[in-house]
Amino acid sequence: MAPLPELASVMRKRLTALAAWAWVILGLALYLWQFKDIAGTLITRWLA
Amino acid sequence: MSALFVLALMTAGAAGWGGLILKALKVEGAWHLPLAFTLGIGGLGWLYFLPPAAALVGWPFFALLAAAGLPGLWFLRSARMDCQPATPWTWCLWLIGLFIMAVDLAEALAPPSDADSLAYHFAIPAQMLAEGRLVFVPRAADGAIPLLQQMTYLGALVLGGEQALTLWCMVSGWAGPWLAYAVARRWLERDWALGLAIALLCLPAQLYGAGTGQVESRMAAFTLAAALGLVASQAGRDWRGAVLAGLAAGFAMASKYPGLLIVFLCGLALLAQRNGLTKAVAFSLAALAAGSQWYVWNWINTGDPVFPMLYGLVPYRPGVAWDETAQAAFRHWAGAIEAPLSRGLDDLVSYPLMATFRPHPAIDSGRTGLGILPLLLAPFALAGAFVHRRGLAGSPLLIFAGLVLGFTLLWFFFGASQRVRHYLPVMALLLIPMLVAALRCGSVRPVIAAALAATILIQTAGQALFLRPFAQRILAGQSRDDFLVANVPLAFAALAANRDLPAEARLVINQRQWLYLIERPTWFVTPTQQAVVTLRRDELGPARVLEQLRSIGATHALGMIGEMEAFARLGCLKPLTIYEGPAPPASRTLGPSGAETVTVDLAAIDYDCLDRK
Repeated sequence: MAPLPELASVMRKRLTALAAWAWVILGLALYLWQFKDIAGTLITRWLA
Repeated sequence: MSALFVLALMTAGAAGWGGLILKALKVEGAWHLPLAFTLGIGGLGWLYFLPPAAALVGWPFFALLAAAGLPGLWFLRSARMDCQPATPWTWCLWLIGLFIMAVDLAEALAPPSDADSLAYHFAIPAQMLAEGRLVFVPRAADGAIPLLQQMTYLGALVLGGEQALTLWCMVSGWAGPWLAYAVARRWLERDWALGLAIALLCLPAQLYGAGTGQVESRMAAFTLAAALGLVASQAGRDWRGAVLAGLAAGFAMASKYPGLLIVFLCGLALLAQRNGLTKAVAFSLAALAAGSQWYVWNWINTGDPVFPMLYGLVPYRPGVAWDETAQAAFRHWAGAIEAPLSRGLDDLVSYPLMATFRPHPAIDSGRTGLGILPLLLAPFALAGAFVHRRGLAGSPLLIFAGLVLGFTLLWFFFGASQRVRHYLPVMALLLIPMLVAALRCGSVRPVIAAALAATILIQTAGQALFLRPFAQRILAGQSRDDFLVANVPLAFAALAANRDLPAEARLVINQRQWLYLIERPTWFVTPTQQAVVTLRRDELGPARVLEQLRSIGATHALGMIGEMEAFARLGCLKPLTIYEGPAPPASRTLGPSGAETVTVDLAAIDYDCLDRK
């Protein structure tokens, strides 16, 4: 079992990485959401 | 001359002029070539003011001025290629970059269809070419404005026609991302710098404006060059860096009024340096030399160097058609259309979020915005800057960040327009320090790489959508007229009027995109930007309006019967014909929305109508 300070360091790094990925994924999703109407228009046209 | 030859001549001439400037200022650096090209675009625009000012609009003058820069290429011979070995990522990025440039080429091969370009960026040079002299257009916001870049368009138009003009816009529009790449290489490995440059190259605002006559993308290159001048000035004790900054900031100032903010901020930054006063004086003289000609031109014609911003504060020249009513209408229009959002401190904080995620329609952010990258990088950049805060003092990146902060505050609180693309001139200055700082923020490189890659992919997908009308033109072999009718609102009427009107006709119109398309002298009777012809002021009476129309020599009116109903009832407008064509497309990118048609009337103006009553 890893000593406590080392575990804390690993946890901190993982949490930082998790938060970083979450920020990027959430940001991209929110950004893309505004183009849903354009995407809808295009898909409708292609299907027609 | 062939359009390709003109493109080569102007590109090489611009780079050569830039090489001469850099040689004179003894500026060295890895960014030599793109910096020379950037300065040369400004230099060429400055020089191309001279032929029309002397009423010499023949092609030899423009060709000679471009060719005179060619010897300067000799001073660029030592520019080094980037010798870092290519990785798979380098090839991927190059492929994406080539795709984006191919889309730009498809756009450049098509006739111009952007509304602002048709209304003034290209229409004013075309008018100067037709009249063979420098022309003052007494229209606020898009007529009496700084026209440095438009003079390069005039040169291209004179030398190689419309095709040379659109190709020149394409190549000069690449200057900013190219210079950003070279600058970013000072701090970043090649793939990161290349990724950043490509993210800038396919930024929606860049994609929208760089291939058209819009000035912001070229202004971004001037702004970055001015920042490099500040960096050079900080490193050296003499005035040379300050002069470089002054020339580049002067070119920005001669491109658009917000360029004045760049001049102001660079001046402040120089004052804060060692020997600041001497440097600031050198900077100011260079900026005035490079950027003041259009302000002087405005002043000569109206008495107001920034017409009509100083109305009521400076005396206007006798005969200038502008008064309290026009000023009030202009202010109201500008406030409602260009800057409708509130400007509190909380708005300053929320603006980037609003512009990125939930844009107000007035700021044009969805289609011509600044992408997602700044917000994705923000926390990492802040953390990186905090971790390395001790190394920030004296860093050139701090100069970049200071300029961005100053421009943001001034533009947000005092800028005439809140359209987000007007922020493009400082985007490279924002993204370079952000990416450098973010990459120094511990072990988040994979996350930042993913953010950069996703941004590039999203923006490239947008570019692919943007390609639709241009690809269709090539694949279907569309003629110029067919393309314009399909992509420019009501273009059919302008093209039909070209066929039907006598050569000596002079038109009044109310559709600004017709200004470039109609091959006759044309007057745009906007009620908010000019007061030479004031159709909507009932108190003036028809006799006065007829006098105004006579003063500009108008013979016909296109699409104006609705607007001039009282006139038509008096018999002053004689309907000649009615043109029918497709309704304006809902979106240039997405194409026509349906099969609706609209009509546009053509009428002749009868100046004797009141006498017969």
